[in-house]
Amino acid sequence: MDNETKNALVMYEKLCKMLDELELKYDKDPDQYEIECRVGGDDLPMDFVMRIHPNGEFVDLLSRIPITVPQDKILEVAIAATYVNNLLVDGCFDLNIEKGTLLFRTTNFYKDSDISTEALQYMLLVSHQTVETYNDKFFMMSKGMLSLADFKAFADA
Amino acid sequence: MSNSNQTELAHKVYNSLCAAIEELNWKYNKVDSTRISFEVRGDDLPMSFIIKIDEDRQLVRLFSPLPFKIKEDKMAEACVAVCTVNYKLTIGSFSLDISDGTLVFRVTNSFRSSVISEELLEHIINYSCAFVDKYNDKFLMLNSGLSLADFLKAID
Repeated sequence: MDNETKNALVMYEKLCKMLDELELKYDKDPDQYEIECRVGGDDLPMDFVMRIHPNGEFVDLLSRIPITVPQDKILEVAIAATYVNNLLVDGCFDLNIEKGTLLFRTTNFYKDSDISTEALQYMLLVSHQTVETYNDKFFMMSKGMLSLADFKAFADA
Repeated sequence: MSNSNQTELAHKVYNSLCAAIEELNWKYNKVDSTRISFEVRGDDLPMSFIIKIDEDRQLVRLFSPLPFKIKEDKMAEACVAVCTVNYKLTIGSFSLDISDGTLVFRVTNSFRSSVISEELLEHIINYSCAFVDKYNDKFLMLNSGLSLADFLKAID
């Protein structure tokens, strides 16, 4: 077994341990070094996928926002995503302009390092907080229920 | 983790960061006890980097501001361009401040209760250099009149 695979397995075990410590239910896909969990939110359900990438030696977290932005709203949502991304310390909202899908992404390298379960927990908690804050606002924008000006005002508050 | 442990860990990461840059044989400036800066010659545009060790958040934070500001009449297109590029990235993202056109590539990495190697810090730097070098000239061309359609073709 090469070092990259060994390190990926160690990180995957830490990831599972972190989720166990938080008492979160999750689905495992060890062949892909991936876990998936759903966390209830105030407004919309939040799905999180965390995956270990052996080649790049990083772990990423992706949380798909459960909306499809119609094309007539794409420009506004692109501006909104850009606006809020500039305010974030960690992670970003990724908008697929063609498909109208939106997800939150954050990553952490672990190359030749001893990354703690606390660092993995930080990824999950920051992502949860950020997605919880903005998912319903993006939903409302995609439905025409929230203007870009009001989205910006919310983000600035 | 106690505040003193956090401080000690941040200092260790800062020292590892300096060692990582020295291992690359690159010149750099120690801006203060938490930040370093350096410049890299890219294929097209010079690239400047600032790396901050954020003790409070226990994060390594890399910033690479692009050497131009997006013009007001290009801002909406630039938002679409930034979103499209960010969707392609595995690490980091471009942040555009639409109030003044500042465009910055940024990466963060948590070192909370962790032991961070110099190799990891080199990894962050190398990834960042590659991504900034790949896209900075395209953003400049967009800002200088390239159409959004042609920008999207150029990055495809």
